[in-house]
Amino acid sequence: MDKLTIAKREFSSRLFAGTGKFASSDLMCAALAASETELVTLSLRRMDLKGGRDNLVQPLKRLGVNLLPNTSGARTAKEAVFAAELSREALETDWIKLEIHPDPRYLMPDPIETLSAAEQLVKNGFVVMPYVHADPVLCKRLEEVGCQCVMPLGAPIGSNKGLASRTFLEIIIEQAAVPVIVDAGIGAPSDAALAMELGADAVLVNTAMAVSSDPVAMAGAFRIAVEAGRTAYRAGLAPVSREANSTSSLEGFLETLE
Amino acid sequence: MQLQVNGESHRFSRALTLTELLDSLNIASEGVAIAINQQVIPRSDWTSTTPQAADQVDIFQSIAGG
Repeated sequence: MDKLTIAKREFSSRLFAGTGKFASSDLMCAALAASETELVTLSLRRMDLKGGRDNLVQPLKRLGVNLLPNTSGARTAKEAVFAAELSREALETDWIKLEIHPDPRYLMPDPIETLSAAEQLVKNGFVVMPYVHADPVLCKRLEEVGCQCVMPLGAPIGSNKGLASRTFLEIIIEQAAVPVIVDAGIGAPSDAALAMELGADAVLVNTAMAVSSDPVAMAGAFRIAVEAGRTAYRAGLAPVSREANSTSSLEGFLETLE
Repeated sequence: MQLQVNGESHRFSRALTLTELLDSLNIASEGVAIAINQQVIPRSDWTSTTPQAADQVDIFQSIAGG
């Protein structure tokens, strides 16, 4: 599979993964290892000082994956910028997944706050990976303010609905000059394969792997699907036609019986 | 001295640097970020930054997320 470059960093895997919803840290690590992902997302929260001192970062560092903090929890551009600055110190990386979704029912990303925050964060030296609706105009605007990729959604976070936004993902992929990473809503390996067949540069999957009854096996399935989709895309998918096109000549057989 | 940490009042026998504060709260620095009065304090400044009595200190940690 051809390598993917984002902000001068090279990736051999086009499957990015989230760390949420796994039943345990051990299971999370086993699944992430099976996925062969090279980049995982993390969130940031104010510590509960009375709680346990679990360290998620250590086992992830042992896996050797790139850590991508997200700004989940931020409701405005101002909060997202604050979260990004905290994340930069927490994980010692300039990379940030910018996500601003104030409404808990559908977790739809706020395009106005996201564009504003993206512009500020790019100016402050961050590698900004913005999570947005599959809006082709917004994706171009984010590219113009200096985002190193765009992350349009397939469907609402955790919904596993697949590529509800397919038509618009195709437009974004056609028009983008930066990598397109389909993120959110990918519920099955076939969704991931489809995204890659459409020409997406990568996909980010979390819930579909984590809530499976066998996350390790599911992670492996996603790995295969992403590879299949990308390889097919590069090989060139056969054209779709309305009518049938016979695979063998229709002449020169039955005429001999007449 | 009294210090507001993560919304709760804590009492310490003396003023502590942020590094000493983490230590006293048994918090490892990996994956952690600190803000004083909503200003993010760079990691490199933790040993030289000492919050004052009226300061609001917030300690954040990396957790699982998508």
